[in-house]
Amino acid sequence: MRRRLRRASGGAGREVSGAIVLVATSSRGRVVAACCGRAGSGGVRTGMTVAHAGALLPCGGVVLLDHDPTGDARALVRLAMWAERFSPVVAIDPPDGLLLDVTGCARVFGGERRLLLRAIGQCERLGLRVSGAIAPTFGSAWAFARFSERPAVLARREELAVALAGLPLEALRICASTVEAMAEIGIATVGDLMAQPRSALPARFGAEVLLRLDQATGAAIETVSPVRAERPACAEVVFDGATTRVEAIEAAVRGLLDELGAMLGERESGARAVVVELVRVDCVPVVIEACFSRPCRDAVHLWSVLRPRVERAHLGYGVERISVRALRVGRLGHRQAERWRETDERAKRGGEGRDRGVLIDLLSNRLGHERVMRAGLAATHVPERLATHRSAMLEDHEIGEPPAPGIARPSLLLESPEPAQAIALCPDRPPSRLSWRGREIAIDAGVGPERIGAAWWRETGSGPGGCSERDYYRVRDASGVWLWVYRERATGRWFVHGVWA
Amino acid sequence: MDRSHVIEALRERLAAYQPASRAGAVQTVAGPLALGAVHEWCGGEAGAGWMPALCVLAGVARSLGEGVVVWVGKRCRPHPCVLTGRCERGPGESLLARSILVDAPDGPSRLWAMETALRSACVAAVIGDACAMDIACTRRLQLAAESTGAIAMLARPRAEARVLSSATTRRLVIPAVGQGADARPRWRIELVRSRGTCGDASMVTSRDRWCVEWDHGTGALVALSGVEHGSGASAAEACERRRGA
Repeated sequence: MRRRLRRASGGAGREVSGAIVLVATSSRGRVVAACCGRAGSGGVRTGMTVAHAGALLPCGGVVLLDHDPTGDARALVRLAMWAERFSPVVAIDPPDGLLLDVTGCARVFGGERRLLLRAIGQCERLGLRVSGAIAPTFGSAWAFARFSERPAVLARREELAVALAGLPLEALRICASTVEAMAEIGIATVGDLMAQPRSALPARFGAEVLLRLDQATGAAIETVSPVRAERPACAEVVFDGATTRVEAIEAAVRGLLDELGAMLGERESGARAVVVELVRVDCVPVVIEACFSRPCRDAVHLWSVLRPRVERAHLGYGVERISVRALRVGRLGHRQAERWRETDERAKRGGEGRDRGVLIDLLSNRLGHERVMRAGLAATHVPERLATHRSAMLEDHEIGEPPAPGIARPSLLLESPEPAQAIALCPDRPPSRLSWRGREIAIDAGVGPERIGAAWWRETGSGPGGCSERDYYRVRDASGVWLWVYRERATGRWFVHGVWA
Repeated sequence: MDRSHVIEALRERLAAYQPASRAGAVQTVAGPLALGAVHEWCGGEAGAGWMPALCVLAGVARSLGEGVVVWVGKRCRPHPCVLTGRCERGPGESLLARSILVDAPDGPSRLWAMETALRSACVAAVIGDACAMDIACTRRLQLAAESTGAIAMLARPRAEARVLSSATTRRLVIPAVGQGADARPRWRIELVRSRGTCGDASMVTSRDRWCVEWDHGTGALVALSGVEHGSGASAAEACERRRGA
């Protein structure tokens, strides 16, 4: 929890103090979903209302965060992938556990105890508070990890019954209502449960109790589903001999793109970046990469973007192998093929979005991602920083709020303000003559000043590159062209900043 | 059943499978613009200091429909503040949200980008820097525009107002002087060329003029007066004369 809070507060070096409480919304209102040890020692419990928890903890010493079970689940999957360094079989035990089958792995680490201590140590270096255990069965390892005071390592199955006897019934992963029912008749520990006749347990408390007990003691087999990293979608073709025929290479690439599209279709995903590798004889491979603004698995579109570069690739002494790989993928669900004219508005918008994506892909891959942009407005009053331009390949694009009505901004803002000489009859009036770009301009009308000050909390300095205090004027020359000029208050110099073209 | 009725019904069903093609013209403050055509806008001085008539182009682009508007060329990059107006023909995204800016490095790239954009089904208009483009280039753009019904608006310097071109219309954009000290930017738009206006008497004729003004408050181009017809004959009379000849 503290690691997440440090990330949210923007720096690993900033220490987070105070008790951390995760808050969820339920029918009772805002309740505690989880809390750190400091809060727990103060009396905070899961399910308690936030108001009650706040009353138990010192004022100002509580940090409330929203509970994010989906994010926690994704983080657990990533942790499971990381834990494959200890065992090839790692399963997730939601909400906050991992089950590793370390059969045969202890020798690599110098024994089971060393393996366990190393795993715990590396998890703690990641900022996690961890408890663990190694036992002959998953059930007993789960019990010892959560209910033992120290990391436990049990090597022999014969010791399980004795070791489990003193643990509470919650260690068997039995539901809370069954535990309560057993507690009412005096069964409080696993040892008490094991002393009961086996035949009576299913009828009285359900089949789950006996199953969990057998899984813990090893009398029943328990299997887990390990997490598997998805192999990237890849298709490859090997020629019988090196070829320099462009038609053969193009046909091979098109076939591989069809195959890649089919693979992505099975996974309900689309490619965001595709790499085509032409392995040449006695030369370094030619690598052609294309990016897409949205997930795509349409082989026709993939080929239309890759084709110009495949045609221009230098084949050297011949190509002997071609591989096509999806570097980055995104989710792309299946869509019902339409044969009728799309009159549904939502379907039309979806079609327009796809066409827009196709256009952006073609333009960006030919001209460069930085040359195809979308514009937006930043929340600033400084004219040079008002306009934002981001690559059109990025999916999230915020337009921003337009300036307040009545604020006049030119249609063309010069890249940087250009110095000019001006003559103004009065200090705070528009200039009457302007000398700019080698031309003498007579001004016959002007509006202003509009004073734009610097963001004093951020910028200092004067000059065109900085943002000092400026008085802007809209001035018109004799031919009707309107210019946006300003005078720096600090230096008195004049600049032309924009034109209403 | 009558055979002709069956054939007619089948034709209608086939037409339903075809993508909707755009035809006709759209009314703007600078007169009607034919869909699927190239329209040239000449204004400003040539050379390094040339500035396309961005206010006029942005104002006209607002009234062209809901599709994407592609701006091609570094000179054809208006400030986002003039693109914040919404489409005049109904609610929807603002022009800023629908705009894509393309910075093509040279003339052939600009031509390719404009042609590719015109052939895209989602594009309503392409506004590009057509400085130094010859008749072959404009012909390519004309064919591309006809294929989807999009509009191509090409900005040229005023010095190229007499260059040969395949454009359907060519307009001169000239800054005009407004009244009073607090006047808004104003332009006089003069139609100097209009090709193929037969068949629709409401289309424009050469030498028609409009006077427009930029409204800072709404970020829109406002027509100050109706069209001022030039000294040339009306379209219907010109068509009749051509048929008679």
